[in-house]
Amino acid sequence: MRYLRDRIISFAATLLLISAVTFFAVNVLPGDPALLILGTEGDPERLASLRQELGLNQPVLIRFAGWLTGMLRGDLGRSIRYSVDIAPLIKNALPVTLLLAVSGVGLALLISIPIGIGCAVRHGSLFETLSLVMTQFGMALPSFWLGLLLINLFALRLGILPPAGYTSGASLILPALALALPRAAVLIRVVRGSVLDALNQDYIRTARSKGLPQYMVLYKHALKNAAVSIAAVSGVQLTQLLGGTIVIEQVFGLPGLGQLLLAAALMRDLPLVQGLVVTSAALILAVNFGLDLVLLSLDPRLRYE
Amino acid sequence: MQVNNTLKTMITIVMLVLALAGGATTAAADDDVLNIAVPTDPDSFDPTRSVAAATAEIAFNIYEGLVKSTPEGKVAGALASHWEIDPSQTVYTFYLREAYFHDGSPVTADDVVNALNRARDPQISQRAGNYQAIASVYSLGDNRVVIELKEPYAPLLYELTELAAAVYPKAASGLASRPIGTGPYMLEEWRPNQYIKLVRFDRHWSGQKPFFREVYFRIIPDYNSAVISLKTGNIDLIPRLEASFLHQVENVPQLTIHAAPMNVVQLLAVNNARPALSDLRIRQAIAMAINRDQIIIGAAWGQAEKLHTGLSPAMPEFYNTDTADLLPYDPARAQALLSEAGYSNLELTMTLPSAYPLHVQTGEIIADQLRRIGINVKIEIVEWGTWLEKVYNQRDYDLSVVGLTGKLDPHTSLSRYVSTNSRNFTNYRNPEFDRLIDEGIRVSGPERKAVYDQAQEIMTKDVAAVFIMDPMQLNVLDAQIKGWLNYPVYVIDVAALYK
Repeated sequence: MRYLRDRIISFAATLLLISAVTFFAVNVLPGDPALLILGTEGDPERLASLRQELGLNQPVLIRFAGWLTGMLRGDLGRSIRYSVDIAPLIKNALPVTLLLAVSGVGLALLISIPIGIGCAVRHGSLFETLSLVMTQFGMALPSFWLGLLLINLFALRLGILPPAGYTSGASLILPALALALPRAAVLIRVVRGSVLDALNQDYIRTARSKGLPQYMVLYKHALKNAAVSIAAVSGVQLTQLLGGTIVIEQVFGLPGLGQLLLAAALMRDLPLVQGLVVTSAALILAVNFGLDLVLLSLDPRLRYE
Repeated sequence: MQVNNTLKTMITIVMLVLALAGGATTAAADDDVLNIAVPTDPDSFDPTRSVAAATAEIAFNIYEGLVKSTPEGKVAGALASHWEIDPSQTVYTFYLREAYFHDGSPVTADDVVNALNRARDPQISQRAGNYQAIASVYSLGDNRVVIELKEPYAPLLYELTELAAAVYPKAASGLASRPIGTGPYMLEEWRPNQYIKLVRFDRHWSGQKPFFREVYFRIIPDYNSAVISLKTGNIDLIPRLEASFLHQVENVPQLTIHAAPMNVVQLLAVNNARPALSDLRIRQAIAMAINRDQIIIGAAWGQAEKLHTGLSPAMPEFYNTDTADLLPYDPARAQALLSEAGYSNLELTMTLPSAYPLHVQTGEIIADQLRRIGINVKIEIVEWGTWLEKVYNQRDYDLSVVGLTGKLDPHTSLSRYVSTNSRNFTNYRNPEFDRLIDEGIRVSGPERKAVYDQAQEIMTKDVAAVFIMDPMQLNVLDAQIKGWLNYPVYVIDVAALYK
C-alpha cells in the first residue's frame, strides 16, 4: 500500500514538473501563435488584437496557473491550431499511437524470440552468424527509410497494403513493421545473450541431466530466466515509441499523437502541446509502473530490495 | 506441442493480416468519390477567423461571397447575379440571386449585410483591414445589397472574392468546425490529421450537380507517401506538388500533370535599412549579380517563371514586362558598382526559413553568386516561427529569401512596399512609389495600368527587393479525372472535376 501511495505521489510530481518544463520551454521559443497565424500578412494592430484574444499578453506564470487549474478540473482547453476542444483531438489520436506502439513492440517480440532462441541453441552455427549480420543491418536502418522501402514493396509493387493514411486496421501493418524490425534486431541480441547465459547455468545442466526434453529445458527454465531482460528492454522500447512515433506517423500519414504534437509545436499551440505532453508522460509513467509489476512477478528476488 | 501452438498463432496472424489487407484494397473503388491529398489541416472554417491558404483552397467549395474569382483571374458573379457601380465609383449595388444555404434556409439581403459588416469589423475579423474602404453596407429590399465606399477603391471586387467576405446565415454559430455556406459542397465531417469530408449540395443556385458525390481531403504530410498513394489509386489528386517530385510523376501513363504559375512572388529580401544595404549601388550590385536561370534550374528543377518586380507574370494584366531589362544579370557591372561604393570584403548574413526547401536552396545558390562578386554571405537557417519573429516582425536581418502569395488585385501585393506599411519588412522607402500606390486605388482602366507600371519600374530600379521567380504548381491527377482548372489564387475547384 505504501509502495502504491509513493508511486502515485511521484507520478503526480513528475507530471507537474514535465508540464511546467514544456510550458516554459515553448514560451522561450521565438515566435508566438499570433505571429504564426498571421504569417507574412500580419501587421502590428492585428498582432496585438490577436494576442489579446488568445490571452498571450498575460504573464507566463499566470497563464501556466490558468492552464493548471483548468487541467485539474479536467478541462484541457481549446486548440489554437485547430480551433476545437483539445480533449476530443487527443481522444481520437491516442488509440492510433497506442495501437502502433504496442503492435510495433509486439511484432518485434514475435520476430525476435524464436530467432534469438535459435541463435542461442545453435550457438556457433551458420544460422547464428547470418542472424547476427542481419541484426547489424536492422539496427543501422532508420525506421522512416525502412517505412518508405516497405511502402514501395507492399503498396506500390505488390499492391496488397495501403501506402498511407488511416482507413482500416491494415493501415497499421506497414508502420508497425517499420517500427518492429529495428527493434527486433536489438531484441534478438538480448534474447540470444540472456538465453545463452541461462543455458550455461548449473540448474540447466541439472534439468538436462534429469532427462527433461530440450523444449522443456528451453521454455520452462531458460526462457523464464531470460524473460526479465527481454521484458526490461521491450518495456523501454514501448515507452520510447509512445513518445516517439512522430516520424513514422509523418511518413505513413497516421493521425496519431506524434503528428498532432508536431503540428501543435510548429504553431506554438501551447495548450495542445501541453495536453499532448501530459498525455504521453502519463502513458509512459503508467507503462513504467506496469513494467515494474511485470518484472517483480518475473523475478521474486527483486521484491526484497 | 508448444512449438505447434506458436506456429498456429503465427499462421492465424498472417491470415488476419492478409484478410485486413484484402479489405483495404477493395474499399477504394467507388466511382463518385474523390480523394485529394493535402499536407495540412485547415485552421478554421469561420470566414472571420481563417487566414491559412490550406483553408481557403477547401473552403472555396463550401462558401461563396457576392462574387468569386475565375480561372482567368477575373471576377464573376456568385450570390450576386450582377452589379452596378455609380459614376463616382463609391456606390456598388449588388443584385442577389435566389440561393439556399446548406441548412436549407434561403439567402437574404440581411445575411449578406451581416456577413459583410462582420468582415469589416476589426473586433471580429482577422481580415478587417482589407475592407476599411467601406463606409456602410445596407440592403434595399429583399434582393439588393449596397456597399458605399469612403472614396473610390479599385480593388473592392477582388477583396469580395476572398473567403473573409463569404456569406453565411445571420444566425449561424460555431462556423469554425461546422461551416454553413452556399457552395456546391457542404462539410460533413472534419477529423483533424485524418480527413475533411465534403458531400455534394443538391440545391446550389446554379442548378448544376457536380460529378463527385463525396470528396475527401486526406491529410498526408509526406509528399513521398502522397505520390505513392496516387500511383496506387488510393488518392486521385495531389494539388501543388513540389517541383522536386516531378521526376516521380512525369511519364507515368495513369497520371496527368497540370502545371501553372502559382502567383507567388519569391524574392531575395534586402533589408534597405542596414548601413551597407541602404546604399543603392550595393543593392543594385546584388541585383545584377543574380542569375535567375541558374536558380530556377538549381532550386526549382526548371519549374518556375522568372520575374523582376513585385507582381507575378501570372497576372498578365498588370505585370510590367519591361522591368526585365532594368537591372539585368551582369556580374562585371555588379563588381564595378561595389568598388564604386567603396566596399571591399562586404559581409552579410542570410536568414532562411527551413520550412521551405525551395527558399533555402534558392538562398544557397544566391549566396554563391554573391561570393563571386566579392560579397561574403553567411547562411543562417531558422525554423518558421523564428523567421517570422526575427525577419518579418523585428526586421533584424540583412538578406532573406521568402515567397509572398499574390492576390487577384495588384494593390494587395504592391502596397506592402509603401514606406509606412507595417508589412514592409524590407524597409523600402520612396515617396514617389508611395504616391503612385495611393493613386492606384483611385483610378481605373488603362490609367490604373500606367500607374502600376511606373510603380513596378521604380521598385525594381530601387531594389526594394530582388524579385526572383514564380514557382510552378504541379497539380497531379489520375488520368481518368478531367476538368481541372488552374486558378491564380489558392483554390481547388472540385465542382469542375469529373470522370
